[in-house]
Amino acid sequence: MHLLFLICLPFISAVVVAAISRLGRSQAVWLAGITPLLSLLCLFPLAKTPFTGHTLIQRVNWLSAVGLDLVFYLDGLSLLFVLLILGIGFLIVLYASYYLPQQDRLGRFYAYLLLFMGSMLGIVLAGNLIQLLICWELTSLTSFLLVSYGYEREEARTGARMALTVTGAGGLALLGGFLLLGHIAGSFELAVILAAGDTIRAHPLYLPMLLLILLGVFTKSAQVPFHFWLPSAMAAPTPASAYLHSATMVKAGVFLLARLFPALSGTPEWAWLVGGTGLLTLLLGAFFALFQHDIKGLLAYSTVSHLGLITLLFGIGTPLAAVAGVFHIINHATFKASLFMAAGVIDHETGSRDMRQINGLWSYMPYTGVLAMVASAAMAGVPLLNGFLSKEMFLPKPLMRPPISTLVGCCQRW
Amino acid sequence: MFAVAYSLRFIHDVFFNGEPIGLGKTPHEPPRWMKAPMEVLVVLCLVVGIFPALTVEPLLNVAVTGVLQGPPPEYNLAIWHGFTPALWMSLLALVGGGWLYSGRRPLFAFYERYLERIEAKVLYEGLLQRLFALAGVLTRWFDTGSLQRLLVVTISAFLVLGVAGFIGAAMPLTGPRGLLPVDGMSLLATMILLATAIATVILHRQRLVALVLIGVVGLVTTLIFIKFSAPDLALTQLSVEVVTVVLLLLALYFLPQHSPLESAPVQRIGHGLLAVVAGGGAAALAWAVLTRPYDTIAGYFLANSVPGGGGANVVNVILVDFRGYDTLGEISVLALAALGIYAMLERLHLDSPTRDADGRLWDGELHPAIMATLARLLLPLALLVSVYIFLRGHNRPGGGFIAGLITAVALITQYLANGVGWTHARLPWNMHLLIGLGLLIAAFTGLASLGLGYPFLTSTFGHLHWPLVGDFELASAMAFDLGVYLVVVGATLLILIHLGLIHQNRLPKDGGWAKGSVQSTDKR
Amino acid sequence: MELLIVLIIGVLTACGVYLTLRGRTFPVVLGLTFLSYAVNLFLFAMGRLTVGQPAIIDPRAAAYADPVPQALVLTAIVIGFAMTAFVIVLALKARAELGNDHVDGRPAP
Repeated sequence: MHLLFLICLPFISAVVVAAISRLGRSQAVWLAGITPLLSLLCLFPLAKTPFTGHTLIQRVNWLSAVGLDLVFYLDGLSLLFVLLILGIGFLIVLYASYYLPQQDRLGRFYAYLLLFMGSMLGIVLAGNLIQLLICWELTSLTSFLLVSYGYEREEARTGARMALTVTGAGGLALLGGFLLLGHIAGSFELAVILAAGDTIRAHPLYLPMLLLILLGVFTKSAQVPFHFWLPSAMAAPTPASAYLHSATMVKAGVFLLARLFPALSGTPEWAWLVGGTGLLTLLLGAFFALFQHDIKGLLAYSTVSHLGLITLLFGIGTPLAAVAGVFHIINHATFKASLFMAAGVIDHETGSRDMRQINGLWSYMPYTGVLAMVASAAMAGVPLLNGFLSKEMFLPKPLMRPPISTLVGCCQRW
Repeated sequence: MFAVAYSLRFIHDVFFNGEPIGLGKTPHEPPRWMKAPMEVLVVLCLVVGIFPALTVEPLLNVAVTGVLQGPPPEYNLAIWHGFTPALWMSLLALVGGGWLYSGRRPLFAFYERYLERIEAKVLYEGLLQRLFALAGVLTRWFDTGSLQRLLVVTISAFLVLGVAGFIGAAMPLTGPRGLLPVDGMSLLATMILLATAIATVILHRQRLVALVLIGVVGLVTTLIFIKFSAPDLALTQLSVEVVTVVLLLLALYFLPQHSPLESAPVQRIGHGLLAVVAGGGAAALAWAVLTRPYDTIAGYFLANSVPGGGGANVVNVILVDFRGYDTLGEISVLALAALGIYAMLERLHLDSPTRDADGRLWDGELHPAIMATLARLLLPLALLVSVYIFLRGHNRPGGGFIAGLITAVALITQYLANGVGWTHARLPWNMHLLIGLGLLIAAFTGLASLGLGYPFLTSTFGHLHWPLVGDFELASAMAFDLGVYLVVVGATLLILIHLGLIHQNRLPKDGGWAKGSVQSTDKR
Repeated sequence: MELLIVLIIGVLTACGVYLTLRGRTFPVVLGLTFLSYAVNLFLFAMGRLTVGQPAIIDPRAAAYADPVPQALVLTAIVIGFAMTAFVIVLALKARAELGNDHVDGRPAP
């Protein structure tokens, strides 16, 4: 089974969904739901390779004359993200069919969602930087479409435009960074770049390249001071928020940090830039989250804060911190997506998202309340839940470099 | 701590804290399957939290291997590590978060008073507004709404950049290549061309005269192509010239016959200087190129034309075979231009002038008998010529472009001589169909070769023995050329017929043309 | 001979530029026609000038003119016609919509 097929499948079915949605709502739901399941099925035989400690690399001739091939790269990190994208994608499809109003034919929404899914798979499976960048921009575009889904509303248009401007500008910076990186490493292929970490770190162009790439990462992952687009993008339909703004798209930036970790990390510049930004984002995001009245706004700022945490972990640069970062990516995706869904249920049932209006829902929907409580307990890091585990991992051993670790330790618990 | 506090707020504010305020409807539990995705995720949270080693550890291990490109470090995922500092801090955070939340009211007041306005969003919007303003200023600075000014700026910029490229290069303008001798006829033709070109510019405000003169320029250009071994170009240029003049004549009918003298003398002198410098630059460039030897890629085409493309006319073989892709694109452009013109003409309302520029009534005799009769006689002959030109195009000067233009000219002559109504009754084809058919044929020829396993637009050829005619060559490129032919005919006729039709449509219904009310059409 | 061609290209360009700088649509279209003559000739001349040796394969021919610029210019002529037609119809449309034939769509002050 070829990875190219895996990426193309959502694109193809997006077209089909858009076409058949006029037949009826349920057909669209079925097709859109089957797509991620089918992809997971296709992934199954391929998933063995990463578990044996190897990397699956497949290539297709593309522009061989200029040394560019389509390369697909499946290792553990890609596998994890593919599982997140497809698994949560399936749940979102199911959820959205209830969330969106009955008269909506869903074709447009599912087509956008599947396009986004395909682009996201393209990012995490890309084996060269150019491919990655193209899919990166595709996610910006498709997320623009998803956020502006309810384009009759002014806030949806503003939010979508803002998200596109910020992530688009970041994508431009990223292009510059990738070109420099390709120039330094002598190739755009991921395998070459990851093996050339020492050369890259010693190169005089390292700092400008790092700055440009980080600009791309920080805009995508809503780090301070580029975080403001994420709360504005909450004008998206809640299933899209749950998918894009908790589990997948905002994780693309973090994914890139993790992906290029062996090539770029380990320098003081990396530690200060990535770690510092992550720390600032963590604190400010958490602080502002407290004061939101919109439930989705609260979740958005909390996402900003958690993304800051993950960024901070990668910024610390030790292997153990990286483990914690990856772990937190998984955990954050699970509890934040479910919280967004809960917010969507509340919005759907009450018609409001303002916390000054919606109170005392326990007597009306206790079951949803229990689910939301467990999820937010995980978010808060209560023991017995996954959020606790990944938060606990930050300070177990004096493995981190002393000054940063103390700082981090204090701030984390602040 | 803040995480705890906002989690608390989420739960407490939503699910407890009194009764809902001002909601339109009574909330209740969502449908069964809407909760299912949440259940799955929440169960995942719990399971991972309680049995991390059984669930997430293998995946985490593999993922970390991917991140580090090496073995993962030692770590211990367990729910209970004993009373580690981390646990204490977690508990502390929980308590602290609760405390923070319980004291939220003064905190909220403080926030709303001082911090609510501090947001990066404000910065972003300010920046965006500045950018828009800057773009506006720049645009207004360059583009004052005057095309003339914009053109002057553009052309000057071109000239400055062009000249700048040559400054500092210590190359002589004249290269070492030998020159061809001048003969009397060429000299004469050049003189005629230069004289008419300059006369066109001087007399350009009398538009009809200028149009006639520019026709002469075109004809002499045709002669230049003949002189310098380009018979195909000469044929094309000749037929295009005819069509262009007809087109401009038709258009001129709806436009004022004279251009007013508007520009100030200083402006005209400035434009003249700019024009002379531009002309001088083009001439210098041409001279520098023409006096230098060069390497051509023509060798390949010349060598492979007969064995590879099956045609002796290399120009035509390049068009329909070697560079068929380009030609396909070009006829698409032609088709698009024709359709665009059609669209623009569709709702066009222009008043037909009833008098010419000197106040004379237009002649009421629409179609002079002699011309009509002659044109009808000429039609079969002209079509025969175009078929001949088409068929021989692969080996002798000719081909789809030229044959198409000749056919178009022949048919347009019918429209001119007999009127649109008469011709339309006898030629009821839809030109859109013709264009579409031509494009389809051309594209299909390419696809057929793709279907047979060759690259797109690969052509093949064979020889066919026709009785009476003798050995006749049939190339698949000929089908492609047929597509070209149809597109050219369709596009040219579509443009000209519809340009003619607006005038036909606007004729006063009763009384005909000559008796139409005398009104100035210039609404200025 | 080259000098004559160079002269022609120069004068046609100059005439074209001057006419495109006029303020009414019709002279601008004429100017564009001039420019397309000039450009076509210029492109054609890039293959250098050859007399009496058309690019038609013949065992008796000693040399051929360069067919590549000729093929380019042939399509350029046809497309030039299409573009002229487009521009002139645009001018008609502008005249119909705006009531005058000034390039900026406004009558002279």
